[in-house]
Amino acid sequence: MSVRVLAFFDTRYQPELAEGGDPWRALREARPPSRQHFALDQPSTLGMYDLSDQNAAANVVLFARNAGVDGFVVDVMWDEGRQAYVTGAEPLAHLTGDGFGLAFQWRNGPDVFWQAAASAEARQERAAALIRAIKVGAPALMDGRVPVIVKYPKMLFDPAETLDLLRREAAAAGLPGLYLLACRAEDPEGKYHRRGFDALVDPGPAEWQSCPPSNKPTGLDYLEVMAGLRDSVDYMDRFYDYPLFAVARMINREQRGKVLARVFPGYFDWQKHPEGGAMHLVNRKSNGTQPVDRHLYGLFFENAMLWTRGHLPVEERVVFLDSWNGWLTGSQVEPSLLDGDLVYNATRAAIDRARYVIKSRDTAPEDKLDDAVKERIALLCEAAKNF
Amino acid sequence: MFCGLSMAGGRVEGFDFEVSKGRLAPNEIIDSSTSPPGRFLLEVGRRVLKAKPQTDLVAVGNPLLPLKSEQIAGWLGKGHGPAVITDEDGFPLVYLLPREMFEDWARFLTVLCCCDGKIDGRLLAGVLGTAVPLLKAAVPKIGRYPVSTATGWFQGRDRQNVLKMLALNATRLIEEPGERWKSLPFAVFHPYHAGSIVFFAAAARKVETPLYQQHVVCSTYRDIWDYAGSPLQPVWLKLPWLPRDNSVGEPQYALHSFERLGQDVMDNSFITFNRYSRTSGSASFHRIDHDRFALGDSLDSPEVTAQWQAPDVRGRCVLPAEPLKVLFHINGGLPIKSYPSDHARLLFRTLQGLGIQASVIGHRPDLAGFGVISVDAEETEPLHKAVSEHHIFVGLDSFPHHFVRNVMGWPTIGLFGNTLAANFGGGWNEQYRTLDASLPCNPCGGDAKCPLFGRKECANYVGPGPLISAIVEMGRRLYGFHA
Repeated sequence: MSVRVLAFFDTRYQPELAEGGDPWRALREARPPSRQHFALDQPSTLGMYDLSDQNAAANVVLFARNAGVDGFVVDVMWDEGRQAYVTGAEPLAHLTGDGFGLAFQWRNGPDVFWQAAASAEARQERAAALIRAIKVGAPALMDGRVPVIVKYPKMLFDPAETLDLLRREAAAAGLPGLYLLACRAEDPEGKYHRRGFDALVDPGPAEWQSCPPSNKPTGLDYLEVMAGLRDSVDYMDRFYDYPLFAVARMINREQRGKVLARVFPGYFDWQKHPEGGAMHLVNRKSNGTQPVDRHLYGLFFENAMLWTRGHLPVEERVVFLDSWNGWLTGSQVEPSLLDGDLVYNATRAAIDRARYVIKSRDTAPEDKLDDAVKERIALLCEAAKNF
Repeated sequence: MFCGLSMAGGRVEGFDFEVSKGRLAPNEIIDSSTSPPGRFLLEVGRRVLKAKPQTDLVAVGNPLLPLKSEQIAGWLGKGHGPAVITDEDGFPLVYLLPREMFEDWARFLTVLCCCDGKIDGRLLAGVLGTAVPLLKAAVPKIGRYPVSTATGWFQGRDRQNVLKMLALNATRLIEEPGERWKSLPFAVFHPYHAGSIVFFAAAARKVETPLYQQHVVCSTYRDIWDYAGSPLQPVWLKLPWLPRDNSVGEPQYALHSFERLGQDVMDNSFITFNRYSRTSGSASFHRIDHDRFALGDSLDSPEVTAQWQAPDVRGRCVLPAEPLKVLFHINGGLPIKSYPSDHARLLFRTLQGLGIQASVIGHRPDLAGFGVISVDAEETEPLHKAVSEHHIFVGLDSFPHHFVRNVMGWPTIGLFGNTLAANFGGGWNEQYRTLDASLPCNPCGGDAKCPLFGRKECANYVGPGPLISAIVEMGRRLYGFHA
């Protein structure tokens, strides 16, 4: 089995899940407040689709499959009004199967119930509701289980008990089990593993800045901003060099524990920060005029897949693509008006390249060094450092 | 990006192809950096004829241009015979060719320059024995062709001048009285570097009926040639190989080479320019497959590519498993191309602790303290001997590595830093592994220093731990070694 690609997917592009019934309004109306902000792109080939339309959903999945994507990661959130967890993934359900499945990201941050103690009965009921919500479509199994990313693992009141409860409820609901991932950059001491997580997944660009920003505002900058002599973005926002950001996420990554890679073609979130404080990944080669470095993105993706092939067990070899349709953060892969299908094609090419190489490696016998020898080598290397 | 039309009995059908990144689907053509544009033109024609065997006339879009079959269909006009459709300045857009050109005279297509309609029209007319008119299409002028294009061509004016010069030389031979030209051999111009000779020879061994019979090679590589076992005939070029410091451009070197080869060679062979025409790292195919395509193989499915196949040659050390003896080539001339020195010291200290006997190619007294033996094996014969006396070879992306793996078939671990393992190392098997850190900056093509961090050494080399694990694992698997 090759390395699979699961892309984060926003299901809210359907009227019933959007505020005011217009899911694309925020994108249409977003205007960059600064010349230093990249304009948000708009969909082209797939259009501003209504995901609840069967044909539109089928087109989206067809495009994803054609690029080599093996499934979508959809958010599961508590809806206070409905008193239920929602995924919005129902329109995708009949399009899953045959190598394309769903994984889930539990946005447990706003789900305050899990941040405090509660009765066993209430916890069980709530856990059962969560499991009911993710019983939609065919899952993109990891190690034979349904993948669920816990977005804010540190916010769980009793993580070990919660994960255990979720697993029991999943079993009771007939699911083949849960593969639980903590959205964290590192677990060198195995803390998350001990709490019951199967692995970690790199956080998104906004949650984990893997290198220093290229702008380092000073007090003078602040004063100039206050005096109206300078764009406030210079002081408030942070700009990161995309190549450095990507390389920093991959360098020595095996030392961070069992952490699955997340790749992204671009990211800038000024739309989410109207008061300032946004972050921007910048293509250095374009002198900061473009948000996406397609070449470097392709290498980031391809190498993340190759790394995954070399460091994770067969059934857990997944790379997360952030994102398929994150239009509000400029991270989308879907074809767009400004970039056409360049990012889409870069994605497809990177997956093709990586899978070709992976197949050429899979014909070789697996390395089977026993743990004692591995440990001996590690100890000798460590000792050699101090020699 | 590549396209063609089948024309038969008044019916026209279009075919479009992409440059493959690894799928090698039916509508994809393998990326080959060592193929001239004419080789892609030939491939498109072959694919069209395969899909439509009744085709009388094939129209092929110039491979140097990003064209679609729909576009070129609109330029055909009323042409019913061979022709070259050009822009106003004579840059070829479409070649209209009879099927015999692809079946009987295929190799002549590889000499087309694809950048001058007049030259190519004359060459085709000579081969076909009929007029090949130039027809102008109402399109904007192509203009000055850039050094590199979005579709992966690495051409520029100087390279195109070499292509023109070779096409003109071919035309001269064809236009000579008589039919001597029909029996003249075709020669590949791909004289350097040492690793390239190894790859081209390995490719030529795999191609049943190569388009070429000869290979122009630097005479300093005679020893490599003797070992490499190419079925092509060497044409010795008595010129030092191209300096690696870019002080001489490849096109300039090529022109010097033709001068040095002399009139006799130019009068008695058709030479094609098989130095890099395309950026090599845009796909993950092994260089041997780039060369196989250049030599005529279509390579139309992943299964037939070198990376997915069992190795051609296998050798193995006959010495007892212990002590495990490993030969290293870790000095690439420049720090960016060499295994980082801190890693190296840790590596050899640890190997010593494991009882593994390490030797290093080159004079490395600094490593003697770790029991490392320096070996003089810069030339092919001493290299062959030194490798034979070791169980495993560990080498950089450099000639010794390619020779040991592809000519000797010895158990090898390839270390990759700023170059792409897939292009130069490729598929794994029981006796072969590549190692790198899978950093997103790979391949960077950095020359003097790391373009990202500014350091002299490359961060993409793996540390000693994974390398030692790979050595111990290979020693265990192949020789029964126990650490």
